[in-house]
Amino acid sequence: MASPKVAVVGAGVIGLSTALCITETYPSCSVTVLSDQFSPNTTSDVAAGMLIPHTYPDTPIDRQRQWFRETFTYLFAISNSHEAAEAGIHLVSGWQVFKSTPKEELPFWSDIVLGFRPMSEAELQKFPQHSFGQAFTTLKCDCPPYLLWLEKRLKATGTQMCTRKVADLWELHSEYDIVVNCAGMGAQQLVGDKQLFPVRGQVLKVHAPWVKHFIRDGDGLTYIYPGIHRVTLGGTREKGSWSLSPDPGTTRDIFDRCCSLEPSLQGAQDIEVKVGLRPSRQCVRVQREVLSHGGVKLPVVHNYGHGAGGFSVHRGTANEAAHLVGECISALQGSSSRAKL
Amino acid sequence: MRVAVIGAGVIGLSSALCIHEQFHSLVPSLELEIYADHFTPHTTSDGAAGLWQPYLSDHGNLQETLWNKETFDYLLGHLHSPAAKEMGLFLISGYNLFTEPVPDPSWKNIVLGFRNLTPKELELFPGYSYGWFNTALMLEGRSYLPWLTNRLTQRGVKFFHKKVESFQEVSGDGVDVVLNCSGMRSGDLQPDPELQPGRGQIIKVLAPWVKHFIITHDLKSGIYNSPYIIPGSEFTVLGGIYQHGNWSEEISAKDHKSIWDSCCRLLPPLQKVKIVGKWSGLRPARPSVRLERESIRLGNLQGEVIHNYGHGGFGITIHWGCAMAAARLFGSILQERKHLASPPGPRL
Repeated sequence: MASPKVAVVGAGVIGLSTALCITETYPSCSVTVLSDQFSPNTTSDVAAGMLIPHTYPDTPIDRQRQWFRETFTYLFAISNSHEAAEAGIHLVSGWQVFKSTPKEELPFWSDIVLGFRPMSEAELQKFPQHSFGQAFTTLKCDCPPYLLWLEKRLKATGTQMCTRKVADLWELHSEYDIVVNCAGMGAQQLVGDKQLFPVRGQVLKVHAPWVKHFIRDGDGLTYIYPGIHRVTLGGTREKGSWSLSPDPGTTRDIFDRCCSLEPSLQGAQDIEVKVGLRPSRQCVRVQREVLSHGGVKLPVVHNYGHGAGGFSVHRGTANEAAHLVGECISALQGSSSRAKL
Repeated sequence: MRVAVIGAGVIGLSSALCIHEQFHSLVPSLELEIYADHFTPHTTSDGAAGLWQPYLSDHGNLQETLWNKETFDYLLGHLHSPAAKEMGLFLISGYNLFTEPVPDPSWKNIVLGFRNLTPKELELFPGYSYGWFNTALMLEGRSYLPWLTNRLTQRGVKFFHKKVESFQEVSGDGVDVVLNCSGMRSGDLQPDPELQPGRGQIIKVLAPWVKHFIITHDLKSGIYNSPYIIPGSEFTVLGGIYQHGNWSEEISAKDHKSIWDSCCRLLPPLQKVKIVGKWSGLRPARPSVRLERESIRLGNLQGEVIHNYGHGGFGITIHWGCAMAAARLFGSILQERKHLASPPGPRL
């Protein structure tokens, strides 16, 4: 198998970063990214792209730490390079505030972000309704810039991008040797995963360039994330809702909640409302599978179900998925050399 | 009671506002007039980035540290008010970088969240081995000065576009007190060899992904002679020039290159940014701020001058503390002239 043909389904942050890891680790592969949507119309484009991990209940914490650490290290290097502005990666400092002291005062990622420490009394004065807080510096991946930068790097390696709606992974078996499923919410239909469910998030993207810090309520529902040109105000976590239409009552509610954390947002301009469905799962599915149908086998690597934490762990899961692709390649080479005997 | 204020930079406007706020109801005849050759956006204060940060050391001048603190606390109190955006006031965090360990500054407990940098953070800044992180404030002159001007105009304060050549010039005709906030040009009104220009130059760029200030220090070359990057609400300021005794307000190509090269070394992504402006100005530098009363012969009357100048590169940082001190001096003048029975209100 001189040049394995790999299809990556999905062009959000997971699909593109996984495709990139595959081309970097196995340059002999010919990779094609297939998706019905590309930036700026993916779920990733709605997200703020903040590196603040979501905790998956059924994934071992060590593995989540590893994913986050790899992702943070990778993006930290880009933020420090000439490519930072083009890639949309930048450092941002701020505060996570709690109305009551959380059970876990030190989250598993506190030593990976920069300068993590509890907030002082003086700092908490800014948040009269909150009694505890954490200050730290982390990274933000602005989209579309980050996705466009990934696409550019992929094209430079010869990766093809095709707009195509894949209805069934089997469609691909005659054209490709290995399929990587990064379809996010689309995996529910694509592979019939009933453990995958949408968590609807509505956000506002506003013009408020004087806001230089992130502010996040520890309950995860209210947050202010300043990006390069716009500030993302959020949000909602509506489990099981498939609606992609913005809800005006929700817009008002998000705006009010964010203004109570940061009153100067009253002066925000150009409010744009967006909705995304977080592809949620009790654990991220990074797994190999061999589909079998009438004697024909199709190796598949799954990398989906990142829910609210896609950006935070994307590079780590992409690395793991690429490694699994390597195993598929070895298995194919093993069986093809056996076939030659 | 007529008061003439000379100077319409941050010092002149804030002193005038502070005095009017404190004394207007107590002295109904109080009339304030502001005279200046330059108004916003053409004052020295307009060119400054607007970052609240004193120099590294107060050289034992505790008075100035107190005025800095009063200013910070005053601004912090306004952070959540509806006026904050109009004032150009917002929180900002960032880095101060050194090539060797240094003592903590006098202002470490004034700002929020002051701490040393971790080794991982220092990786961002090759060549620097020590530093601080803290949260401070930005007060952008090009918003703050118009805001002050509006407040003063609402209060009936009058403005006169005029280059004042002497105290006598404004103090004729019933002016009892002159407030000298003439910054760099105070020497024209009364010679002061201690007042010298600290020439600065900056480049304004569009770099909206930069959310932190980054200020480097070279202890040998002195304050602000080392690159700094300060992100504002509309553009980012690149700087790092402090030339003592240089009166030129022209843009120097050599200084421009020096700022550009050193800032791009500090933050490589800057190489690709768009330059949207350049500016050069003179910091009114003095070993200490001159904030005191002086009795002056004005014709055949004794007049009072309150001097409030020489704030160097920390005018915005110290302005409100000085304005309140100037107001206290004004209050003592009123007392002496029996305009007031006793000083008004509790004060710091």
